[in-house]
Amino acid sequence: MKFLEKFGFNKKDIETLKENSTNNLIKELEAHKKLVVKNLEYLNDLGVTNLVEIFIYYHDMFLMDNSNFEEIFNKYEPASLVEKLAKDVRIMEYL
Amino acid sequence: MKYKFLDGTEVLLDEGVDNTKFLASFSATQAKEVKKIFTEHGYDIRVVPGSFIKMFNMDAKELHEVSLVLDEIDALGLKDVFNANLGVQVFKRVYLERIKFCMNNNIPFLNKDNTFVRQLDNATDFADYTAAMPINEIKTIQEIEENPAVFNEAKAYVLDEEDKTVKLEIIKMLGQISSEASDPTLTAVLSNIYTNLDSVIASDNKNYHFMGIRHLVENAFQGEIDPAMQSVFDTKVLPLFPQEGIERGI
Repeated sequence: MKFLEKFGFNKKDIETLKENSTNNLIKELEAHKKLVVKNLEYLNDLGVTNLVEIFIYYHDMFLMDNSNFEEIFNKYEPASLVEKLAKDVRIMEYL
Repeated sequence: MKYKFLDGTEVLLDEGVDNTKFLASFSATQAKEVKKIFTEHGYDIRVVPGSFIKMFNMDAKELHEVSLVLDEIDALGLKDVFNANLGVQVFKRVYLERIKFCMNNNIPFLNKDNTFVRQLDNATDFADYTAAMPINEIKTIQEIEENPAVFNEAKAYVLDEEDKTVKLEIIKMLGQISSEASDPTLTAVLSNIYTNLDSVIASDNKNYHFMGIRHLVENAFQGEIDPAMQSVFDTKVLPLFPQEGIERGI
């Protein structure tokens, strides 16, 4: 999962991620890392401040096709979205 | 919205959650077995958060391990706590071992709202959290295994299901002040209560039906108590337990 380091993931974060996942999903993330990175870059560029937390709990969402992934978020005003995500990561489910 | 796995297993997602976000787990091969073991252990997973869908994507080895963890959670009397904190991580062996360490060393593991403390989330934060305890008070796994008579003393007091419910209620109430665990006097008070709780509940002969649970906490606080501990007990612990007892519907 070294590809996550450029997004600010440290060893402790990757350990937490693995504990919040399954063997199958970790394999999928590794197998589709280009797609996962693209989706991470999108949120990073949007200015999301808790990207690590979002990915730990919702990394399966990052396996979505990039255009569908972006469509989830681009309906919202970025600053407001970033603020709400920082306040409660669980709104990821309701976007 | 319904979430249907490839093998036909279905769960419901919370109102307003779109199932297309979690299609990564659609072809999970053990979804049916995952649902079965949780249901058989009495967990209510008719409606689950989207973040829990990954749980159905376990492989056979992980499923076996989770089954053992669920058995142990039952034995510890913590099923209700885990049912209220559904998540992938909490059912991992390593997470349960951290909770057991906390229980064995009287370190709080629940927040005021009965969610698990964040310090359980990884080994680094957990080590920092438990390092706050005086080193000579921490019992190692080896000590527990080498002196089973000492550490099983509490287990000699057999609690039935009703007693366990009462014990859990007391632990939850005490959890409201767990955020102050850095206060060494409070830690000592809580440690004292936890040490004696099983024996007090077991020997109460279910008087808690009539007297409430406050007297259990008062009786559990015993032994070597200094004035500072007494003061903390009177001002921080006892106010959590109303005088007339609590309506528990037992």
